[in-house]
Amino acid sequence: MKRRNFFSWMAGAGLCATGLGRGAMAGLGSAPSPQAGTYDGPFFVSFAADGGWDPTGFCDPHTNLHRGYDDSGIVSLGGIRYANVGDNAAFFERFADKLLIVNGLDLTTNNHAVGRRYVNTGKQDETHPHWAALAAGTHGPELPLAYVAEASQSAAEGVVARSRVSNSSVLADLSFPDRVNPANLEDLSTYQTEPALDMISQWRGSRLDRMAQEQHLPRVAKAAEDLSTARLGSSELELLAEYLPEALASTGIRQQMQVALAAYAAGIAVSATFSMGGFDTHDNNDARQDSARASFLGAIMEFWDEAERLGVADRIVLSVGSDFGRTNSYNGANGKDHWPVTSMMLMGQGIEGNRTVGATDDQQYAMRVDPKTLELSEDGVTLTPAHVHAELRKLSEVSADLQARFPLPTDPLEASILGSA
Amino acid sequence: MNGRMLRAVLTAATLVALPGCYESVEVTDADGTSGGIDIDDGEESGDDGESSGGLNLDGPGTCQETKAYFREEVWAPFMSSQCFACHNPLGQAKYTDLVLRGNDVPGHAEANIAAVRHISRLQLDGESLLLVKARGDDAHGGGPQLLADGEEYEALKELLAQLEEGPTVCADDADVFEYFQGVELMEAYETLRRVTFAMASRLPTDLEVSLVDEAGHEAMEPIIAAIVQQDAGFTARLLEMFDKTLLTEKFVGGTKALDLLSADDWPAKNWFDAIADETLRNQARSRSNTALAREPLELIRYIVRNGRPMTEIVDAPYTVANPYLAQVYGLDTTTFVDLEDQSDWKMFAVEDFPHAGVLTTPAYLGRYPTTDTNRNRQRAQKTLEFFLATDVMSLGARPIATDAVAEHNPTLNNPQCTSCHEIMDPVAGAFLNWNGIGRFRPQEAWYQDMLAPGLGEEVMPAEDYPHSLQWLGERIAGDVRFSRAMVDMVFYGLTGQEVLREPTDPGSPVYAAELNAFHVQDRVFSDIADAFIDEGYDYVALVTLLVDSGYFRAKNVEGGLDELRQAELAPLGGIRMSSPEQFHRKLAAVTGYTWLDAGGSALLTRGRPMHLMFGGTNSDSVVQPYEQVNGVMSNIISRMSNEMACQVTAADFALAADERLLFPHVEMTAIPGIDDAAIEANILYLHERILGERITADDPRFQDTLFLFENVHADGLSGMAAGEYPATLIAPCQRTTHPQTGNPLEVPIMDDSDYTARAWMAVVSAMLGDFQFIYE
Repeated sequence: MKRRNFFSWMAGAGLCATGLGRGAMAGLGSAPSPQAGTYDGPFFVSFAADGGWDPTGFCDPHTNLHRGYDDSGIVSLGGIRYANVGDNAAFFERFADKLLIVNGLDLTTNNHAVGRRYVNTGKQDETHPHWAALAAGTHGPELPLAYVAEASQSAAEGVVARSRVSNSSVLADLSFPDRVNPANLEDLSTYQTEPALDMISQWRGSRLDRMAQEQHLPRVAKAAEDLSTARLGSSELELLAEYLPEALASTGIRQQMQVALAAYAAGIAVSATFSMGGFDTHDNNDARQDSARASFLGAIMEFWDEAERLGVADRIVLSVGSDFGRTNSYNGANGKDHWPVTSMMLMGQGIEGNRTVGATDDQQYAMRVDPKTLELSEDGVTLTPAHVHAELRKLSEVSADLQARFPLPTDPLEASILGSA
Repeated sequence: MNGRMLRAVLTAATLVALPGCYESVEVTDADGTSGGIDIDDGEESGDDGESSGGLNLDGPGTCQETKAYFREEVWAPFMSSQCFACHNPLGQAKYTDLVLRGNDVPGHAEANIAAVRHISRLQLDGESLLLVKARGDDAHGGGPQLLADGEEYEALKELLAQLEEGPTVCADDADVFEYFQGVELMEAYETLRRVTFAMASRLPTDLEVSLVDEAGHEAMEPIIAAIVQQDAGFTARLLEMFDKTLLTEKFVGGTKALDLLSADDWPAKNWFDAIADETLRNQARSRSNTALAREPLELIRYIVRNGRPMTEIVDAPYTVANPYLAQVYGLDTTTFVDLEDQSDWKMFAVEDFPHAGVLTTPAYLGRYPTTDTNRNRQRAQKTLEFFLATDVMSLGARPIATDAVAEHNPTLNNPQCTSCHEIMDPVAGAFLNWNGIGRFRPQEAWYQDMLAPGLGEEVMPAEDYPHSLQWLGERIAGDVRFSRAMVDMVFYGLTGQEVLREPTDPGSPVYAAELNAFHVQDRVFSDIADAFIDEGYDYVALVTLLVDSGYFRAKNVEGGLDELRQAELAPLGGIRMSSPEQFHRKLAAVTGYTWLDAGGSALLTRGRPMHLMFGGTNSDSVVQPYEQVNGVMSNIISRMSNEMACQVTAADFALAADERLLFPHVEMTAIPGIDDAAIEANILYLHERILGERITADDPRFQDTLFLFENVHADGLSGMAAGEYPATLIAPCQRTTHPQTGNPLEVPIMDDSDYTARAWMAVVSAMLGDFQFIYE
């Protein structure tokens, strides 16, 4: 799906978007589109554990580095191992077959903001958009909820508009902005007549056309282009109502997830980000990590429940990460401080599950892997988020233009971290 | 009369720009001519449609080769990483002859060239000591850094050669002048409109318009002064502008701010519990909480509104309190006339409390809490960022090895960690007397395994520990970086644009262009910072300088830009999406009505349903406004323009013509073909009022609007004739009562058999959803 060229904007074109996305992700086996003019590729989703999680408490267990379990507390399920503390079992038992764990990622930072950016964008500095933004910018920037950006770090860097739906009570008003009584679907009366609405649209389009011809400051021209793009798909917001659950949560991450998934099912969203805090555990590490992780993994399970209800779970591509890891020893407050080595978890369409790639040694240092086989190798390379993102970009078919604008600091490994699903 | 005299005239004449008070007030000088304004020939710098970025330039230059060479061939490729790692003011090589300044320090390029030039004069056996050390010879502490046959070594040699010959240094003005070549600036009226919306959420008054029409941008400084000193709309805007940075509005609501205080410290903090009436008690609790949350922002407002130096933001030996906060603190309230007046903020000093501006306010300390292991570092990081323009987090972006974290006390011992912590930790120590949630708990000592309290290399004497933040605040106020920090903060508040950061990727195809954009802005803003110091840290002076700069006023540029020029000019054009709060107030200012839901509550203000969806922030979990409009916002705009046009059209026509805000030149009975002059006059008026466009009837924009009006009207007539459209307005668009008195109208506006009301409704709706109205 390509952004419509602003400079060829035609009067009245803002009323509808056409030809959006159909078959664009054929390589990933797209499901049937719910309606013409909507997106039908995979849903690219990111969950972030804000504050810096402790991988030794779940996906990278080491009995010498965590006080909460001994050898008997480490559970192996095929290609993955996890620490059976807190509520971990429910998550890992459910998703073991789908789950890819990447351990031993060296972020080379213990700075929250830098680590968060690295895990989300594949680069440490502030120049790059979130991977989910790149996906949305590639496949449907004109969709009304193309990029549902609820996470604390959801940089878009101008490739797509961020959206959030914080209050569902006004969705009806916004889905039918021209109607006098949008809550009553039987009442089709509008504030303006249809011809008047067309003429208003033409008037606004004509002025934007004139701006496009006369305005050359990049920042102003881009703003006008953004408005034009936003108007292209805005009428499709009405599709959302059809997919929202009857018991819509009133606030919080549950509502965010429900709306995002409904938007995707309606074909008006490409990607979404979510985050939950509570992981910066400089004191009382184990109990606080257990608590935060239970909520966090619980939210992911609820997300999956809703995706299954909507029949779209098989089209999710999910990436889960955190700012960094936590130290290999406890401080005086039974806490753990910042540690640059961490893990990510991924699953969904195109990702080979029940596998673990990479590792840490018994002091939680990143171990190198052979770039051709991904086996541990002292002569190999140290895994970084950039390696993961190189493959996420490939999987999500990020456009060549965006790849060139936002290059990663490393090339992909010869072997595929994501595998072949 | 110069700007300051104009300011005096405005103030003396109490030409206060109050909401809804837009009447023209005539100002005449003693000779009764031009309001006492010395009108020049209109050739003031910057008023000719092209800008010098706010500087008075001598003229175009042609070069800066040595400086550019240093940036692009030496600093960016290797010196900023390899050399700077140790040769920085706090690094392992801080006592050598080569101490470099980081990218985060304004003017670092000039300082670093000077440092290199200085050391280039030192020689060993006839060879530059710098080259010798770079190769690792002469016992260089950092060992070999450059290969003698490498490109980087050659680049360093070339730089030294240029410096020895005498660097090609041109006037810095040249860069700025060239940068702004071809850039078109806003005319004075356009700037004025942007200023009044940005600072007071209102349209310019007739008086202000007349002043800028006569005096151009020279009139801006007194207008800004009057807004700051007297404009009611400025209060809300000022709080918003500074909260963008400080984020202390997080504590508004519930008892979030009051919970920061201990009843042991502040026995009267719940003074309202003694109020018998539950409603009044709840109201007093809420107002007390809000007052405590707003203490830092109200202190800033007090400082700027009273013309006090902005350095008091960090070193004021007092705070401010309204009647509610005064009672929370247990202060004497006898100086207040009305104990229920929340807007009455007065200066107070709490006994035995070492006030240091906002630094010692509970809301500031509570907003940036700390833990036993964090040890005030978050407070230090934020204080350095906000008030010393020093971004410690960007220093932390450099890669560190895992070993560095694992060794004993790395923040004190490992150079990979100390590059940040040597800057941050002394400042953290200065907060020693405040505990994790900001309660005052005086200490006699600080952690021995951290650097001692201080700032930079200056260590705080132990006898200053009892008033440590006063010590710190005074030093921040005296630091040259404070003025630059205020420039950055005020610019961000005014425009929503963050100042540029130095680009970090030399491999980028537009690196040179972005670097030039950064350096030009850095130069312009540094000059403004210097002028701000000269003006005694006066807020009005600072805003006036920023408003006069190309970064506020750029509106277009000559076409045909290549990729590099586009990247270079990317920061220009202050236009941005209105925040929901601003949009809410702008609608009221322009139409006279606010956008409300069926229950009469605002839809776009903080906490309301559409606030966050329209890109609002909450100073807590959502702090980044949207950069660009999305589909949901587009629909919000559509619904708003539909509902508002419906509401305001008939309501405005219900007023006498001279009281109308939207239709003063036309009646509902005016129809095309008969009353063309009135219709045209009102369309031109709407272009100016709603869109800020001063155009004439031969402008194609006017023609488009006239076409819209006439065609909607014609379609309406034919639709009514065909029985497809009713002859009356739909119920929500009718008006049966007088908008001001509430009395029934003699002739209720329900009938629209001429279809003129709906034609005007279409025009208003179109304009309220137009780019020029949405963006400001």
